[in-house]
Amino acid sequence: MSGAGSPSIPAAPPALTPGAEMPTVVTEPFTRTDFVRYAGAGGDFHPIHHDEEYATAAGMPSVFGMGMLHAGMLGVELARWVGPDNIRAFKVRFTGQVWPGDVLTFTGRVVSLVDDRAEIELEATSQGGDSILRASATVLVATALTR
Amino acid sequence: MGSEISEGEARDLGSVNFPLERAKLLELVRSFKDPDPLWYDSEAAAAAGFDGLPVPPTATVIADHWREDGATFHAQAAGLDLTRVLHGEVSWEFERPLRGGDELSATSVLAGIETREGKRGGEMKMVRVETTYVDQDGEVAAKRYDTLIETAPR
Repeated sequence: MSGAGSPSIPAAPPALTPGAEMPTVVTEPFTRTDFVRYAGAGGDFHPIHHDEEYATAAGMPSVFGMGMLHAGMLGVELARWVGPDNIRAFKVRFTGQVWPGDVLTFTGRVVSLVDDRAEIELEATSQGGDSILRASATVLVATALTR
Repeated sequence: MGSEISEGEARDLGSVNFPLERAKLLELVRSFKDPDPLWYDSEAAAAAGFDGLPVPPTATVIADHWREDGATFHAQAAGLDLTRVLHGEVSWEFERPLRGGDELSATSVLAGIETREGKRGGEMKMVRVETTYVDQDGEVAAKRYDTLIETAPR
């Protein structure tokens, strides 16, 4: 995914216009270790995300990823694109689950611009094309006056 | 959709004080597979033009380390059956950019419980939790809204 060597993350509000798109990101396949790492990082020790016996007893085919893991990954990609300080709202609706082996594609697009605020819609889809989450963000952008 | 039942007034779920500390921020961005030093190295952040350590939009999850039940605290406080709980929605509103090093106080309220008929019968619940983060200067820095879903019993 991203990291050192990627384009620099903006500190100041970016110049964005409707239709502008976030660089599309395709994840590595999710592993159980990814879930455990997020459990430790995010403080989510719900056994349904790391204990196979618990998950299957609860009627799940296997453990699955916490929504806050892929929501957080999408949040980082949004932050890399528009700058973390410029995000004024971030809203996520979980629409599917991430199973071990799944690969997600993150996309985002500016849908409207009012004064110095851009509304961005984002989505995570799985390798099968299923929507896993839908998100929106309100982002402070540079205007003709501030640019 | 079935009838909406509001079960009383918003219920206080208490407060927790927590720091947005560098080590937890590093762990968090590693779990997101973004090892950019900007997220945990003050010099890298300064070089990129930030007046402190910027944080990813979901960084307030660090509060859960200061709650005995971690991220399942709200679901448990609402009396939900964890084997049937799904995270439906989460959103944040930021009054200002958060910074690594901020000392925040998170106060949560159970804002509503709605009961409706599940798709395959039985009763499902939707629980709304609102959390307000007040910073070291006593100012509201951010708010978070969660919707938890308890699916109908199988």
